[in-house]
Order: sequence, then C-alpha cells, then structure tokens
Amino acid sequence: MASGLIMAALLSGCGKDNRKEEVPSADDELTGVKVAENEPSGAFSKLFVLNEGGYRSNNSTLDFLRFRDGNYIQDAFGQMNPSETMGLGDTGNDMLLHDGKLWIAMNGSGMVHVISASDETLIATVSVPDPRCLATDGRYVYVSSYAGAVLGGAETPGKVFRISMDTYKVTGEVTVGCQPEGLGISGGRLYAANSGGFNAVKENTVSVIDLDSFKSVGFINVVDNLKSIAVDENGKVWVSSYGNGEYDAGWNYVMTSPASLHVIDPADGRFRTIPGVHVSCMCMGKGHLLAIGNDLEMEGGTSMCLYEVETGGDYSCTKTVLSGTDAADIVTFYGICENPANGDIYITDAGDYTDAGAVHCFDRNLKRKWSATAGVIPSKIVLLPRR
Amino acid sequence: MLSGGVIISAFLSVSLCNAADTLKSSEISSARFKGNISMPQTVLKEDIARSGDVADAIRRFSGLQIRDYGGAGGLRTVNVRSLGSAHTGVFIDGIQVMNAQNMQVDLGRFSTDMLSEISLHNGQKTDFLQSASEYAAGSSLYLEHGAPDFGSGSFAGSATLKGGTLATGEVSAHGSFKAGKTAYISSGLGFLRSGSRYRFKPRGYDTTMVRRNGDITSGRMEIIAGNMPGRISEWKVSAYAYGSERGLPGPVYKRADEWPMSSDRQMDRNLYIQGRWKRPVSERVSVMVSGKAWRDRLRYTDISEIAATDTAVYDYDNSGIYFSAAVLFKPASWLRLSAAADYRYSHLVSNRLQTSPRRHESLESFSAAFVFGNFDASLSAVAARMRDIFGNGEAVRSAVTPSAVLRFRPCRKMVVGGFAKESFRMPTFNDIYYVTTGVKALRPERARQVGISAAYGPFTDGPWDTEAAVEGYYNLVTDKIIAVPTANQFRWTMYNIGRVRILGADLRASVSYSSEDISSGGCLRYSFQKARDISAPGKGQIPYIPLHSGSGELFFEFRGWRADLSAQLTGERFTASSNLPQFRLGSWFTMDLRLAKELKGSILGTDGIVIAMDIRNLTGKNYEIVRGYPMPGCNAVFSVKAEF
Repeated sequence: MASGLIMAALLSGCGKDNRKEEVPSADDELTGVKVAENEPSGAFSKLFVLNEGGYRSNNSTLDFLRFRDGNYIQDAFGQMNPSETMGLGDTGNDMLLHDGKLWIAMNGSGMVHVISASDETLIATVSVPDPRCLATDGRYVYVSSYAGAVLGGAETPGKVFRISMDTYKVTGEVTVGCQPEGLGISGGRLYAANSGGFNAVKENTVSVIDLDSFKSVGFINVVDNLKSIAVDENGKVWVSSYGNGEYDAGWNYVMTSPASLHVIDPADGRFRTIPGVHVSCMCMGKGHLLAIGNDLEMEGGTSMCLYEVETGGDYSCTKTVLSGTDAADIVTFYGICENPANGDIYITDAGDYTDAGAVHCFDRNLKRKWSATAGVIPSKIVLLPRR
Repeated sequence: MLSGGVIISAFLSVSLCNAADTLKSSEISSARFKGNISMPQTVLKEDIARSGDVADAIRRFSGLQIRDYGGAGGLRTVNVRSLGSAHTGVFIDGIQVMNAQNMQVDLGRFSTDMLSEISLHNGQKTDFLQSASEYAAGSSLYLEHGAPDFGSGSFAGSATLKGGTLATGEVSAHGSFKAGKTAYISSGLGFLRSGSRYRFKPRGYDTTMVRRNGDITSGRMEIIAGNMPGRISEWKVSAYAYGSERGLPGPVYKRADEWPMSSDRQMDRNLYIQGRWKRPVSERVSVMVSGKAWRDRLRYTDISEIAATDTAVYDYDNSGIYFSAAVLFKPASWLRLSAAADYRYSHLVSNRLQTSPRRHESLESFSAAFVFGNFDASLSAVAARMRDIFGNGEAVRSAVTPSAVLRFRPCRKMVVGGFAKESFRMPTFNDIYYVTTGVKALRPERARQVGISAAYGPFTDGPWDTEAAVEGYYNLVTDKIIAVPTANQFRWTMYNIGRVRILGADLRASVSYSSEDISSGGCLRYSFQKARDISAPGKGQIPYIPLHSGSGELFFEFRGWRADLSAQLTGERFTASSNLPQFRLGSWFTMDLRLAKELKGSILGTDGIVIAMDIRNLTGKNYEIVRGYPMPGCNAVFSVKAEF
C-alpha cells in the first residue's frame, strides 16, 4: 500500500525519451487480445494487473498490458512458469514493484512471491502467514499479516513481517493491532492500518513502527475498521476506513459510519477527516489522492463518485458523479491506479466476484480509452517503467 | 420445440404400439386409476443393496447431477434438471427431510441397509393421498422402507462387514421381528470409520499430492415399526439417530509448506422421529395424518493452521416439528379429489447469528385427478405462507403454485405423459440471516417446468426384456436468490436477480436376458442439459451443469456369481457462467466394477452369504466434480453380508 513510494520509484525510473528501444524479453512471445489502439508506449512498458481470484479457489493470476502493441495478456505468470504447481496460488492481495521485481502477497497461500517484472518468471517465494499488504523502504519489504486470526481469534493481534530483499528471508516481526491491512512508510516509520477484520473487534488504530529498531512505538486512534494506507509526496499518511454498520429491526444492514478518508500528519500524530469522501478503493496520484466510493452509502442509496483530494494546501476535494461518465457501467469498482505520466486512470471492475472481471482505462475526462477482460477480481495495478 | 417433442412421442407411441401388437386389446384400458400418474424413475432393493450409499444408488437416474466433494466424509447433494439442489425435496417414507438452514440434504448420511425403493419424480409426484409438502417440491427423491419379507419365519435380518482401501471399515446390521399378526419392528445399526487419505494430482499439473484431513467416524441407529401390507389402514413410525465427527479438507489450493492442509473439523448430531397413518373412513373418503419432530446440531470448528489457539467455533442447532393432514374423496370411479394442509415450525440457534430465527410455514394443497379411457390427468395447486420471526422483526412470504400432469396409455406397455408445474423454494436461514450478508426483502425463488415423456416396456419376448424412455423438458428459474456485493463493496446482500433457462432431454434404454442359468443385461442413459444463465448478457451455461452426460451398466449373472460394470461420463463444465477457458472443468469418465458370489442355503448358521468386491474408479481417473475437491483414485471395498 506504499503507493507514494511506488509512484516515486516509478517516476524516478522513467526517462523522458520515449523513443528508447524496447529491451527484448522472454515474454514477448505471449500474445493476448489486442485491446488498446494507438496507446503510446510513453513512460511505461507494461501495466500489471493482479487478479485476486476467489477465496480458496486458487485462481489468482497476473495479467499485463503491453503498451508497445496494446495487447492484454491473461495469466502471464502461469504461461511463463508452467512447471510451478498451482500457479500463483490463492488470493493475491497486494503487489508492489521495486527494482525490476514484483512482490505479490498471496493471502490464502501464505506466500509472498518475488517475480521478475521483465518476464514474469518466479525468482523466490517466502512463506508468510496470512499476508495482506506490502510496503518497502528500499532495504526490506514489509508485509502485514493477520497471523492466524482469520475467522477466530477475535482478540489475537496481527503482525508485520520484515523480508530481506537480498536473501528473501523473514528477518523480523513486530506485533501490531488486530487484523492489520494497509501499510505506508513515512519518515523512517511504518504505519499499519488495523482493521479488526471480520470479527466484532473494536479496532480503530494505526500502529506506528520505527524501522531502524523494528519495534512498535505507539498507536494513533483514528476511526473504526481502518483499511487502506497511502503516503503522499509530503510524507502525510492517508488512511481509509471500511465504515461501520448494524442490522435494523427489519434485518436490513444500515451504515452507521461511512467508509471515510483521513490524513495523518506524522509530525504530531494527529489526523484530519476529509469530509464528504467515501472510499471503496483509492490510490495516490500526482499531487492528489484518487478515491472511488458510494456518495449515498449513509442514506442507503447508490451514487458512485470519483473523489480527487489535493494532497497539498487545505486538502480540497473535487467530486465527479460517475453515472454520467464512461465508467457508469462498471459493476464493482475494486481497484484504481493513476498513470503519473499522462494522467490516465485505470479502474478495475470485480463484477460479481466470481466471473471474469475487467480493467478499464480512462483519460482525465473519464472518456474510455480501452477495456480488457481480466481474471477473477482484478484488484491491484502496477505500471512498469521503460528501461 | 415442445410441440416437436409431442409429435415425436406420439410417433413413437404409434410405432412402438404397432410393434407390440400382440397385446390383447382388452388389456389396454379400463376407466380406472392405475398407480401414480407421474412416471418416476425407480431403483429397487437388489440394486440398492449393491450400491454403497444413497448417492451411489441414484447415479442410476438420468437428468440429475450429484455434487460429490470426495472421500467418505465428503458432502453429496443432488440437483435435478438444473433447478438447484434446494428445489429437490428428499422424502423418507413420504415425509420431507427439512433443513431450514441451507436446504442442503447430505445423501451420504442415509443408509441403504433397510431401504426397499428409491424413486425420483421429476415435476409432480401424484399419489392420490399425499401431503402438501409433497405437492410443493420442484422434484422429489423418495426413500422408502418397505415392510420386511419374513418368508415363513418371524425374523429377518442381515449383518454386513466391509473393509477396504482408503482405510475404510464399516459394520452394520439390521433385524426385523414380527410383532403380533399384523405388525413388524425393524431396527438397524451402523458404524463407519474411514481415513479417506488419498493421492491426487492437482488439476492441470503432473504433481502427486495427498488429500488429508478427510477422515470420518459415524454411527447411526434406526427403528421402524409398521403394519404389514394388505391391511385396510397403513401406519409406520420411525426414529433415526445419526452422529459423525469428520475432517473438512476444504478445497485444494496452493499452500506454503509450513501450513500444508486444512485442519478444520465438523461434528453432527441428527435425530428425528416421524410417523404416518392412512385409513379409509368410508367407501369414498380416506384420510392420512403425518408428523415429524427433528433436531440437527452441527459444530464446525475452524482451526487456524497458523496459530493453533485461534479456533473459531460455529454452532448451529436446528430443530423443528411438522404435521400434515390429508383427505381423499372419490365421488366417482373416474374422479378423485384431495386436499392437504401442512404446518411446519423451524428454529435455528447459532453462536454466529445475531438472531435466532423462527419460521412458521403453512402449506395447503388441492388436487383433482381424472381418468378418461386411456387418459388420466391431475390438476393441483399449493398455497404456501411463511412467517419468520427474528429479533424484533417479522417477515411474511407467500406463494401459490399450480401444476398439471397428463398421462396417456396407448397400450399396456406404453405410457406417454406430460406435466407443467410451477414451484418455489423459500429463502433459507443462511440466505437471510447469515452475518456477512444480511437481508433484503427476499422473495421465494420460482421454478417453472414443462416436461414430456414417453416410456415403453418392459416388453418381454422369450428370455429378453426391453425397456426404453425418452423425456424432454423446458425449465425456467426466476427470482433466483444470489449473493451480490452492495454499493458499499464490503457488505454483501442477497437479491432475487438470477434467471436460468434450461432445455433438456433424457434418454434411457435397457435390455436384459434371463434363462435358467444365466442372466445378463445392460442399461444406457444419456442426458442433455442446456442451462443458460439469462440474468445478464454474456453469460452461458450455469456452473457445474454439463451439456452432455451419460451412464451405463452391464451385468452378468451365472450360478450365484455376478459381475456388474458401471460407467459414468460427464462432459466439460464451467465453474462460472461466463464460460471462459479459465473456468473450464474437464470432462471425466469413470468405471466401477463389482464382483459378487452369493452362497445360498444355510451356511454357518445363516440363511445365505454374499461376498463381494467393489472396485471404484477402475482406471484410476484423476478428476474433480467440484472444483478444488479431487476425487479418490482407484479404490476397493470388500464386503461380506450374511442374511438371517
């Protein structure tokens, strides 16, 4: 979830010269479906899409769009690693790119895979229990983990594991709150959003961990059921919540607090709530945070909106109602990513969570540029800079 | 399409009747009812005894899919004509097995020891005197315990010992006693233990893995008392207790070496008592009353593979009572009118539900059956009303559904029929009250069926016996209950949004030969089911329904020796209705072989012994019926059964 860092890495990695020769790769042989016409290669050579797959269905896959020819290739990992039994595995929950390698947290399989971003071949697999989200500071990759407390263990605290990027071994662990999800790094500290998971746990904290000593240095109370974390270019830590709800007398589920957005200032550990933003999914863009959510969730209605929140100044927010745009026919908004070079927005549609999902590319004005059929529950998107 | 089918069956009836011209015309018809108007598929006692369990026995029916999760402890459910398993009522001695929690009836739990008949009624079962619940089910599977055959004595019984691969052992025994002149008491006991650990290859990879945590220990006890057939009144009461403790291996998925398998466990305790009594009260009027009380407890323990202390226990305690009264009135020899009223109460208590729902259901049915010459017909309607009480809330759901059945007997060996039926399934407690989904105002799920059928035989020509049947149907499932994520994607809810259109055909043919020494025969079945998800564009065949499937059997009997070879073929299926290659599940073909020797006469104090060897999945086919649940490879069971 260290989107800020990922973006920074991507930006530093991409050259201004778009006429560079493409480096030949073993996956050039893979042909998919041509979905994008006239897609300039620009700063990036590939757009990776991680499909979560169904829970315990072992159908998580890694797809990519090759910008050079506009081809969308499904299950590239399976095709490039045919002898890897049962492929990527079960429930790919998060993915990050660092130094030409993709790190993928496989929640159901209890694994973190390290994969070559140039040809999708498997480099290493690290066993981590219930891995959820990833972040890196360039030295280590950090993984949040429920540590066994998936359905039971209501009060069992979760953990963050530290994996060496040289040896691909777990070199440390630290206890955090219950069922930690998103991770973000700012100022030598790691922030972990504790969700409380599927249990009726009262959990509303962000754990703060000092990276040098790899020890917990405290908690920040925010709101109930925290979920995603993203860090902006100013080092501010953005955190979203699942919201909260209860059953009314007619056995209908009603929301009691929204899926809200908050920004923590690491300097004093205080947070501010961004009013009127509802977050189903979010990503850090260039100078702003993008979030998609249901503007009417508290009223029991549906109006999906794109929120663009400035990361500087007074965090002003621009809201776009999606029903009037090309994104209107998306069934389940599940993942979002911004192309920092041209401002394109990629949105994944998880559909009914069992059938194939889709990835859509929109320009800044939410005009559709292309759409591709993905695997089951496409979630995380990562852009690979051209070399 | 349907009219085409009618023409075809009419043509068949004419040509086949011509072929069977030798029948005397006086045999053909008289304006009297002859048994059920519906045309069930039936498996009788001898074939049931040769099957491992109920799920095994009903593989002989066409038009149904058995979902099998593999291993001795794996769940087995039945889905008839793609309507969904919740539309198939399972009836034991005419009384429905209820599971208000999920409408799922595990066929692996019923013993075949004391069963005399299993029948499947597609569409409407039409016995003249039946409960409203029997009219309400979309299709129904009947398990019948007939009266024991005492011969000349006053005791009949058997004891069976089985042992085989997959670390399986089973002992069972049953005995029946004459009670007075007209009644009997039967009692059965059984105990099963299976390790069910087996090798398999994960789908698409050439790596051998081991299926673990599939073990089961179970025990059952049943007592049935009733009167012998041929009496004016009929009564039967029974009690059944079942307990099991099993591992839940879960689906196969990629797991780190440190946490290689599921260690979840499940414990069941099932108990019911039921009874039925039928009696004519005058020449024109008969009555029937039925009742049942049950309690089903299930404890599912989710044991974290990572931190053994993190176990989550799910307790479900499902109980209920049922009463039914039915009356049949025969105003004329060609007309029968009947009415029935049922009441059912179910209660679910669970530590995982935020409420303990109570459900009151009342069903009323009215039916009229006519006979005119070679035709007989029945019209019926069911009205159902369900009231749920949960916490401070209440919900009322209702449905009225009609059905019509027509049968024509052009000659003695030939039956042509058709039916149209609307039925429903009420939302289950899991649909409505499960913690992670919540509820909206769910309506009952609807199924409309139209079917035609033609059956011929058994036609006997010297030592040869021939039978054949062809059936065609068109079904529409609407308001199908489906879980969907809400606009807030972290919350799911259930909606009545699914629609499925099913077009199907079943063909069956069998031939047998019997002489003094030898008997032999075979049977072939084929099913075509085009079951399309029409809820949204871009969808195709619904999950787990093959377009083509078939099965067959061959047997050969010679002086007490018997060999049975059976084969099952299921075409490719998809696990999602978008039918993309990534959702494809391969076709499979398996064969089972049974060799048995019957030693007749009194041996070691018995009245006869049957020694048998069952080899299942003869070719060791690696396959999955449910994705992620590999089936066992070649395995064998040896059994010795002694009759007393």
